[in-house]
Amino acid sequence: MEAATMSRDKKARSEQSAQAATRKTASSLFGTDRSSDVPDSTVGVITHDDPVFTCRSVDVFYANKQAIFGVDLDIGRHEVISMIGPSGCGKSTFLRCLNRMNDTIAIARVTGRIELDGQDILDSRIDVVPLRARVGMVFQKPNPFPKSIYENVAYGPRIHGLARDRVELDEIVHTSLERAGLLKEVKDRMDQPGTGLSGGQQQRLCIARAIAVSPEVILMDEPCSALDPIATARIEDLIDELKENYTICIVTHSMQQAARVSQRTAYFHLGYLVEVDETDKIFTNPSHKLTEDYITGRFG
Amino acid sequence: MSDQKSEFTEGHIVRAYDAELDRLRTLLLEMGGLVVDQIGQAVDAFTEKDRKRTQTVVRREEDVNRYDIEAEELVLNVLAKRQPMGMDLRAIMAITRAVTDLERCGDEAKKIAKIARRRVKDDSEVIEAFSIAAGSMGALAAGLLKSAVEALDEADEEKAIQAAQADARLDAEYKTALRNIHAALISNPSLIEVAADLVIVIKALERIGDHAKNIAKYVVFIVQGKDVRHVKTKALDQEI
Repeated sequence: MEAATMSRDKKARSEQSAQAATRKTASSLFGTDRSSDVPDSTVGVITHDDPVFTCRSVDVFYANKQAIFGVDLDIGRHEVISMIGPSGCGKSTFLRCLNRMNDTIAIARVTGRIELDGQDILDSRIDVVPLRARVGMVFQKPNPFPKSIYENVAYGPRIHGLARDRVELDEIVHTSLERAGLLKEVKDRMDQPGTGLSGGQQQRLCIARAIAVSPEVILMDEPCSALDPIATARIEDLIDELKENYTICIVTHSMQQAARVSQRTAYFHLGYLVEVDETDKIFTNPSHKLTEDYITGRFG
Repeated sequence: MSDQKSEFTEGHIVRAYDAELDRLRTLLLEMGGLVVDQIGQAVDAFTEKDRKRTQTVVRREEDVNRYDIEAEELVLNVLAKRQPMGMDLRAIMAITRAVTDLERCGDEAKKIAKIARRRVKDDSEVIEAFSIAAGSMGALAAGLLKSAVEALDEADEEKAIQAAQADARLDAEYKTALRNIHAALISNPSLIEVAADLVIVIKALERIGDHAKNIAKYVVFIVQGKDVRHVKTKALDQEI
């Protein structure tokens, strides 16, 4: 019922945009004629030679309202992929599907297939605790536990039983803090509360906490929105280093950030994945008009 | 030239951005118009031995340079403030390059004007004989440049490719004129000084054709994002 309404809406939009396209042809100057409706299937290259995630026909509903429509996307091993699009386009919702964070929302329902290394993670028999260790997450607002810096990082490895003794745990904590580029700044005050650090340091502490449980993938939901430009640059530099060992999916409102840090970029619009391609191509010569309008600041 | 509103300069959420891009586009058209006129005036000054026109061309060369400087400032500001992407970025890159080509064309026109000034009182037959060739080449070069700038403004690939390919005609006329100068020199070596000036004039016009061709090729970059600067002009059709 709901789907039928949506498809009618889509058809209506399609007719409107067909008229708009005709008008455009009359005074067409820059840019080729391209549809400004969401495409029937995603434009660009959705596949990857070495995928960590293989997502097919992913739909997300919040109660009766559909938020994501049939997303097909591969996420490659050790790549940084950014998800961009206007507010409410579904990019965060999609990101949260990848470690079943939407389970925490009672009215949310995810259908389709999402395979992590060939295993369907939407299967209800999957235990989400180990899943979320394999697919870690960093949020917009740094959210360290109200514990010491050491305990923030040690917590995960301890509950997942990744360290046999204190020596191993120390080792994991140190390595994680080092990889997150924070060790130098905190090594003399490991017992002090994580919440006492600056915003940028707290965010790197959260990244260290995610790394500590040896994830394959790190999801980042606007990780720099609450940070100043210097702290942002540090995180971006860190992302560049982390991609040697991890796959990173980042949702960002900063197109410049997406352009700087990612190898592939996915553009979402009204719950549809409109276009996904090499980042260089998306920002210099995107194929779909909606992507072009968004990245050039014409949307809305 | 086109007075249509361009999709390129319109529709940004930040309207000041539209205005900045619109100024850049208008500047390209103004500068293009001026340079095309400079070429016409310089060639006329040469063929008609008109000292006044030589002065006009030399004086207005400063205006051409001012456009070049203004374009540079505009582009720097837009890049710093707006971080253009997609077609905006491609168009800005193309216009920046086109302005450089136009500035060079302006220099070539000035070169012709200076030679015209030197030859105002020279009524040798050779100059008379070459006036027709120079006039024809001048008209062709100015026409090519005009078409190329219009094609850029309208992002019209077909028009651009026609302009780029028409440069072959200018090249052919250049070769013929050069052969004729050689022939005249062989029969009368004392013409060497005049002949050297004539070669500079036709070479300048031939170069203007090359710059026009460059500008035409930027159109393909704007529309398709393809860099065809080093693609053979004959093969350009296959690119669209």
